[in-house]
Amino acid sequence: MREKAVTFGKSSSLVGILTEPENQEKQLPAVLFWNAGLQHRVGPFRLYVDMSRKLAEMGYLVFRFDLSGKGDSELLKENILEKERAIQDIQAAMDTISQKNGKDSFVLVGLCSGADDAFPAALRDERISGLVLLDGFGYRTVGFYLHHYLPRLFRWTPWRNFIRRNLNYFFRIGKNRKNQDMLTQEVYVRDFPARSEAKADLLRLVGNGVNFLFIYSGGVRENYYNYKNQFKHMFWPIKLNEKLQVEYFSEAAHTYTRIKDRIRLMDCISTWMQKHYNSHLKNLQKD
Amino acid sequence: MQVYFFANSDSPLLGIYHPPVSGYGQQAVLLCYPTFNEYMRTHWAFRRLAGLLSEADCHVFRFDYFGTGDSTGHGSEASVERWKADVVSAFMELKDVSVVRKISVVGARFGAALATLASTDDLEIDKLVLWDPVVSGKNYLDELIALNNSRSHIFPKISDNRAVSELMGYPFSEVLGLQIEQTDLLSMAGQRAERIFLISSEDKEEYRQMGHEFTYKPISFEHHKLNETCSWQSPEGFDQALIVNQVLVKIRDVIAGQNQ
Repeated sequence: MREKAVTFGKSSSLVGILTEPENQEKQLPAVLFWNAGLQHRVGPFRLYVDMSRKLAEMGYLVFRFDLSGKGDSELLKENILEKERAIQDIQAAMDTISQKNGKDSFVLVGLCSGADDAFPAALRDERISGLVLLDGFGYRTVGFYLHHYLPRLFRWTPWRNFIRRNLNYFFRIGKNRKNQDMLTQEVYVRDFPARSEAKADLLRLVGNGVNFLFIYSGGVRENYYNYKNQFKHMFWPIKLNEKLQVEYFSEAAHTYTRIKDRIRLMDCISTWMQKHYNSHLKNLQKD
Repeated sequence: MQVYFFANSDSPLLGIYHPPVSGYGQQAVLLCYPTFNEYMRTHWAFRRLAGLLSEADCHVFRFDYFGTGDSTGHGSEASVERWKADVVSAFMELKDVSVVRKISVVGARFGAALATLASTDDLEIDKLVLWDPVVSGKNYLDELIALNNSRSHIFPKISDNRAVSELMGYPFSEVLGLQIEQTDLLSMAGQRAERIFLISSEDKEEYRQMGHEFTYKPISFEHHKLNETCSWQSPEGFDQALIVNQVLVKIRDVIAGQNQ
């Protein structure tokens, strides 16, 4: 395995690290990682570095890079929306890898805002053959509310908070306190597509042969995803199949803060890659 | 800006060189990141600091230590000895790439301790700038463990300080723990720096002790206390990007000689 720094994009303003395997299989897709939120390309707790090196051992060419204005990449003065810029940066990364390494197929791995960037990129670019979305879009269902509120009925703390909140409101104690919903307020609001739109786009991409691995963590339990089968209920009647795999790691935090959770995540992604690409390649070679 | 791997080809380190904006500069500055969660927190601040210094016509080099960031290696194999050697390698790299005789070093938190360690043994530094330095490795480790345990819902709780394999979500070894614990800036003698600047965002007894120590040494020492909070020990901010301005401008000023 060998790593090298690459600058690319308009005016070479974007920065990335290319991890090249010892024995590169031309037919395997390249894998791309980029920023999760404001963190630079190494990912939370160096997750993308470890993942890049693990996938390179499996024969994948991996590129982790910074979007414009994040990490070490510069922000060019262009009148363009951030979401659109992210898609263009991802496409610039794919163009660079295509030109330099002859790759024409890509798997995108995105966490949080990275997942929000990856899905529209796949709708735009046919070179994307697989998406791994970590805490990607999700929608509250009836089951979500049941899983959220039912356990609270039998615990004292939520009741105490409820009573305190309403007493405060009633007696106007702490005028500056907002009467918050019992569901946690998000630090920043993620702009998911409408559920019907996401469903239609998901069906279209699966129909086009794109492989999906959705992994939800316990870190979004309070916000929008809190039980194993929620995905099925969000997008009923879409059925999980070979092309559409969903996992729920209820113990893991949103940024996979524990080493054991990162190992489990990496194992899950590499098994999925093995199943969809390495094994497929072996079958092709046999034929 | 040039991004490349340097040092030993078996275990290369990622370095980023920022040339002086005017194309000509007589000063060069090596930036030493903090470690663990503070590395991620300060990445943006270091990039901005590199930009400020480059605009002040300095050659600037920042790099990732072994087992951190994009550099080779795994965190479980890291040691203070190795990181100190990385500071020396990066210093030599900057010397080669800038062709400048006077090189200053800026280190933040444990990066400041590593810069000081390197200056004690191997390097001749022009200005050594210590930003909220870790003075006592033992206290630093205690702070990290307290911070880790304050977030025990997301990090494994540490009950035995001697048997830690994971700290603040990062791999951690016994060797690294012991070497951090043994680090003590107050007991270090013979730093080979022309001038030392202590830039602090908080008032600590150990910083006053440092000032006292240096009154007996033939090195110029200045302490600048700023009114800007960095909240290194804040449980809420442990993974949030550090957005600071005064500190960066002050560092630029002391390096570029605009120190009033």
